[in-house]
Amino acid sequence: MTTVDTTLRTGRRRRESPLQGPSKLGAVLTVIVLGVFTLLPIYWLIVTSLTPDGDAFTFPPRFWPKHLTLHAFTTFFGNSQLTTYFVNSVVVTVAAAVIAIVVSSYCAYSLSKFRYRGRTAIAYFVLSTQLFPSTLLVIALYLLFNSYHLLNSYFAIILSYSTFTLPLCVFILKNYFDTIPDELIEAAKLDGASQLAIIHRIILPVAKPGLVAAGLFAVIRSWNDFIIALTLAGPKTMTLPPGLVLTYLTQDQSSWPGLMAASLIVSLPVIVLFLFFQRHLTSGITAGSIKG
Amino acid sequence: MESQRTPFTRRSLLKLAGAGVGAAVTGSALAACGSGSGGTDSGKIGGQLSMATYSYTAGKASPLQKTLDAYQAKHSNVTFNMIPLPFNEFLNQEMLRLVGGNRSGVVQLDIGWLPTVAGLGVLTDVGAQASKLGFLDSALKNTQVGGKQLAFPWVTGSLGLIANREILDQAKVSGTPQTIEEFESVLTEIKGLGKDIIPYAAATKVGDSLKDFIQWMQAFGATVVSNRTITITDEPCVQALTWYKSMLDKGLIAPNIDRTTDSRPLYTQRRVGFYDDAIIAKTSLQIPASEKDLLAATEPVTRPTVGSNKSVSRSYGQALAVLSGGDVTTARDFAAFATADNATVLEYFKNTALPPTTEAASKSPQVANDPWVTAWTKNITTYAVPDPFWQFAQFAQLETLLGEQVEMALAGKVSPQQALQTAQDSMRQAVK
Repeated sequence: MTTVDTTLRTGRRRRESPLQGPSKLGAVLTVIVLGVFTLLPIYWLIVTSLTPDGDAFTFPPRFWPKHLTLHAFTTFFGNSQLTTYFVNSVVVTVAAAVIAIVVSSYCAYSLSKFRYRGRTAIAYFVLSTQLFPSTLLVIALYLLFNSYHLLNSYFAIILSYSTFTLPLCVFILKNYFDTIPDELIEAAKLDGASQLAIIHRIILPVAKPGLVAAGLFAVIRSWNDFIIALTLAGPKTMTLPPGLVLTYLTQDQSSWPGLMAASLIVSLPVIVLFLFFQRHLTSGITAGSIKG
Repeated sequence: MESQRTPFTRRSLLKLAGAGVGAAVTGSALAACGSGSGGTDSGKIGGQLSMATYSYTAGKASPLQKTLDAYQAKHSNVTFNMIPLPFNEFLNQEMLRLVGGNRSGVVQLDIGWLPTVAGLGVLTDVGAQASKLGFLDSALKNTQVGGKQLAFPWVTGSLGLIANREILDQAKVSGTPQTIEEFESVLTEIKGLGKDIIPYAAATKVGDSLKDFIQWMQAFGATVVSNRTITITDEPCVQALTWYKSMLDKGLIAPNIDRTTDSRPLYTQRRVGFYDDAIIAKTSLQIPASEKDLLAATEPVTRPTVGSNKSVSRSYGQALAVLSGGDVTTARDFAAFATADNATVLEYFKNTALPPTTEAASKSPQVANDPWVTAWTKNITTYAVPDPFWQFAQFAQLETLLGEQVEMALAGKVSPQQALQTAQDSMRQAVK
């Protein structure tokens, strides 16, 4: 049977695997090993969250606990303070992500589609701020917000998160805007569109994957941050990362099943977001990486 | 695409940015310098009282809540503004708060942190009040800095060696070793049990607990710090590190061990013969109630020493300090109540197993007859001395510098002599 016959029969050409024999076996083994390394910690997290406190460190370790319990999960949902931390996390993360996307989209559009002196220097300057870890600036931020009586407020945390996520969002969006043909903008101008109309009605709708990718990075960074929230937030505005440490890792005791259950619950929103937007995320991140 | 003309040049943009940043920094610096008003002593109890603490979690029942409730039952016009912070980040966060001008209320402090916080000049001298409340002399001394009583002692204890009597019995060891040679011999017997048992889960990883090694240097006869001069290259220190390394080579201690993440969990798995912990070990080990035999087998033991040297352990304690800003009346009254009111401190002891600091409470049947406290006091607290580096504000940095070199020596990258020389040089540089 020839390839042509196969194609005629099935309506499509069967793809031949580039890997054969030992190479294919090697590839499969590599995937399995990488998969184990990646998935085993997640499996261990889930198993520990279902284990009673006293059994968390039994030896030899069990891959499936002798006794299963949902106590850690019921404790989480029964703790009203954790609900407060959760709400705080949602508020600051959403606000910071929205601000970061809005501001970075205009900045990225300027850097991508306008030509002026200093454009490249500004782009490098924005990117170079990524070299500085946010921890380096925490003390200065604390003193700054303290002097303006803005500590223990959502404003301080949201402003800090927006600031630290902006450079990466600008970088992602600029790369995406670079892939949008200038002819689109020319055509819009010929039709009499203003700059604002071009940005809002043509560029941004086309750049949805880029906006999603930038937004997701901003969400992940803000959702997972510990040190800024610990330093700038008060008891009423504290977010989940420092809140979980306060709740489960005290001076003299650690509740690891409780912490694992909380970590699982807390990571669900981000996982759901990823699943929902994964199609856009891939195209948004890789835009501009291959010259067409 | 045709260039878009902009009204700004690069030069004008940079000038504008520079002026803006300069104004913001100057304004913030001036504002920060202007913060921190002096305190008052109105003589009236009431109002909102701030308390920075690492023993409180909102939404969770804690022993401290009972103390707060007891105080509010006495003074209903007092409300608490709790500032809970994680223990590992507490000193950094609290220093930031104090430098930022938040200097009113009370703050819970580990006694080792007192000199560092006292260096900011924000703690109130409570000597006049504390001297009348019946505190133990040793507890008062632990909370003095530069001759001033800068906090009320809250709980007291020490950090020392703990043995698992079950494992010692399996290794046919009766009694407890008194000298380094006996200790090593016992550890060798335990190693013979096999079964993945670590004879001594000593701290060997840079982190919070490698500073335990300082006690071994002192057990070998080292002074470590004298007249604020750090000396860790003398014979006792080199002998101590050489011995520590030899223990690792013989498999009597294990690499990469930290107290919180390794020693304690391994102990609850019955895989450790000896390890170092504070008097809170009974609660920090989290031994399930179903394993009462392990709890019963857990013994505080005196640290062995070289020759006839006196044993050594490290002082441990917590204190409540009164910050000098705001109205200190309520803060001072609450701190005195929480640390010295008999019923309150005994209730706190019942829930935390942390011994109180007043003579009356210490002699009460509840505390005096507690077998764990009695054994711990006799075998460990009797020999307690403060960490020699606590007298320096940079004590945490000094302990890290020492820990890094000890770890290098244990890994065999440098000799013990070289490691201690490097550590001493960098520590002396740090305190200049």
